[in-house]
Amino acid sequence: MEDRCRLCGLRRGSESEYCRYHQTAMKNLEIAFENWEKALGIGWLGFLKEVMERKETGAWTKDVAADLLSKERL
Amino acid sequence: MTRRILVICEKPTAARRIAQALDDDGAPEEYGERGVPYHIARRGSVDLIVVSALGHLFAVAQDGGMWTYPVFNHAWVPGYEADKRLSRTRNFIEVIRKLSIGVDGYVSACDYDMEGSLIAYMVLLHVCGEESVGLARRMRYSTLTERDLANAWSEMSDTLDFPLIEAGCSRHEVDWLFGINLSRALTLSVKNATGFFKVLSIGRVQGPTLNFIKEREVEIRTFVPTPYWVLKAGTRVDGEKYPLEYERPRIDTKREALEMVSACRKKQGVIKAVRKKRLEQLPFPAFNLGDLQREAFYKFRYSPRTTLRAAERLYLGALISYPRTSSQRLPPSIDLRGILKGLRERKEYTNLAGVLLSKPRLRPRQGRKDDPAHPAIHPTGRLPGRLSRSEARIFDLVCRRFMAALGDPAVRENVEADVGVNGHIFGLKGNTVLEKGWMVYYEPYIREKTVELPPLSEGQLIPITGVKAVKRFTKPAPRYNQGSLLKLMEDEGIGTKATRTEIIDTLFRRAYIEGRNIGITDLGFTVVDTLSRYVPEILSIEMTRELEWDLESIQAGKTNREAVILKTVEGLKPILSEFKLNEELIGSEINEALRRETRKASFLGMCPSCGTGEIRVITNKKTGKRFAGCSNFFNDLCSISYPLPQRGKIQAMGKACPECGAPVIKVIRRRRRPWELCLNFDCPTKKRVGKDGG
Repeated sequence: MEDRCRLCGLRRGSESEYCRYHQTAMKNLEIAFENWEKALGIGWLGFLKEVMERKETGAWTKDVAADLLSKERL
Repeated sequence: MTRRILVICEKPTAARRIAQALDDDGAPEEYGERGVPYHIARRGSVDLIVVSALGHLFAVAQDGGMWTYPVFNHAWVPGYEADKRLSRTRNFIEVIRKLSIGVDGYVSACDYDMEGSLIAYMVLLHVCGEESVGLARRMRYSTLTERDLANAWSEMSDTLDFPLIEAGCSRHEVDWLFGINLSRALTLSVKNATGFFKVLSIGRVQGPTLNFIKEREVEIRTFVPTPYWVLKAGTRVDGEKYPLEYERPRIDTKREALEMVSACRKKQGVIKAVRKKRLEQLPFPAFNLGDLQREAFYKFRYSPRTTLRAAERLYLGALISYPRTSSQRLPPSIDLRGILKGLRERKEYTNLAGVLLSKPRLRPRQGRKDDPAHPAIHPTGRLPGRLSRSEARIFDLVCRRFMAALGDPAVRENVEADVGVNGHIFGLKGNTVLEKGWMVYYEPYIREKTVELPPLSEGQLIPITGVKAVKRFTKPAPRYNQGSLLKLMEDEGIGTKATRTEIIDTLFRRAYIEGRNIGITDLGFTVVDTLSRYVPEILSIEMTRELEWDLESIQAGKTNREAVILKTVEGLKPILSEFKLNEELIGSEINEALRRETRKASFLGMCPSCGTGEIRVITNKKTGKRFAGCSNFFNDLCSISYPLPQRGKIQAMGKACPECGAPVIKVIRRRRRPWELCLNFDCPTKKRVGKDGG
């Protein structure tokens, strides 16, 4: 199962642990964080928690945010 | 001896109207054979045998060979040979063949468009004999009124419209070549990779359309909202409250937003400038099909299919003109006054039509889009008898839009005042309609929000109230609905006015898309995602757009059918080779999605008995009956099962019964109200209903 996305099981490239869609979500999170940081002075973890709670957040973005949060907890 | 002419119509209802219009006494003789109606009309010294087809009686099919791909050998065959569901076409073909024996001439009186021309041509070629094609003449009309039909008869062309027929033939063949090859490739990829057989389809327009929906879905699912703030304030002038809009629609940081609030709170505003602007708003042009479908979707939530069907019934009832038109124009040949006089007889339109009739000159607003074959959709002036709800609504929409197009421009006045508050500028905005003009005719369908401001002057001081910063979040682009998807297809130039509705319907039927706000299913997503990786050409909008141009060029006489078919075949060959190379990968990926979809469709909820199994819909292979059972039954861990209603669609509600914990389902049956129920037959809630409610 090494070539599968750890979140949805779709095929993925070797350079990432996510499929291309979850990778896009990850990239969008990184871009959005800069805006959130400027807007609210918020940290990465706080940002992820806030994003998880918003209804506008995309399903795949929530998958990635939840995965990143669970990694942080470990 | 009396001359006999065979008049071929597209549908039985149209045949009856045409026979009535062409008969000298308006009372043609009616006959029927094997369920096929036909009419004998007498016109001068000529007997007209008016017979109808049933839409297309012939279809493109594979000319021999196996159920495989690539397949390029094709032929036009009777509908009943191509598709079992078209068995009724056999009777029509045989009755027309019998009636055509010994006739002296032929007339194509099918709807004047590509499909209509092709329907009559195929009947002539394959039923009446090749020589009939050269003898046939063509009636051209846009409404089924007696006046229009009589004109069409006296002005009919000496030959069939061959460029239109060529273009129609080519379109069917090109679509068949794409559809059959790509759909078989998809179906066989799953079958060859996994042994599982399920018919899957994709076509040259379906592919790009599904890709649009997928791209939007990806955008929504990967969206991250960003916070921003909106500065809200209000004022009170002459005792009335008015909202104020801050000059910047959004403020990006909380700090800045709070600074602005504290700068403006409890301050007075000064009117710095007042601007007034009078605007003339021209009426909308009369509808073309796409505009009508979109308007009906937004006003009544009708799907494009529902609107098209209602419009076609109105056309067959000679109440409106031919609906499959791209035109937004009403040419001078249309008797506008005659139509208005007819509409005046209807109570709802009496005053409206009367006002228009009192104008010395009627000049309709003309839209940009034109169609050489038909004008914009307009009423004929005939008044309807009993109409269904959808027909009545579409009729009203068409009539009002037609009258509005003849109306005067509306005149609006927009007032904008700049209000300075401690160095910040807010806007105070008002708008009023000074002259309603065309809006009077279209009133039920206009949502107007007007704000009338009191007289304002520069330097005037006004109080500023309720200053606050409201936190908001950016939103993802909305999902397409049937109206916006239709518009997108039109703007991108894929499909035709006649086929776009069908394409959207097919995507729903194949379970690739779902919902009113169209979402893509797991299966649809996987199909388009897999194809985009292995054979992206199938989803290429450029390829399908180029083919549309080629097909239009045939109609314009710039190229021919053979060249376009050859180009299609040559274009398909490398795509299909590429497909074959990746068949196993494509098949196994789609199969995974199919399995996920099946699992999702059969899942009703978690098992209340063992807690680890899933309650699923299971069909007994022997009896064909369905029931719900725990997935742990197959591991000998749980044996719970529930009976299920045998009819209707079953939908999991995603919740458990608060009394017994069994999954709650919804049963949806046609023409009945859906009902929710707990799966457990012995649930205490049901016993209570039994006791108290009888």
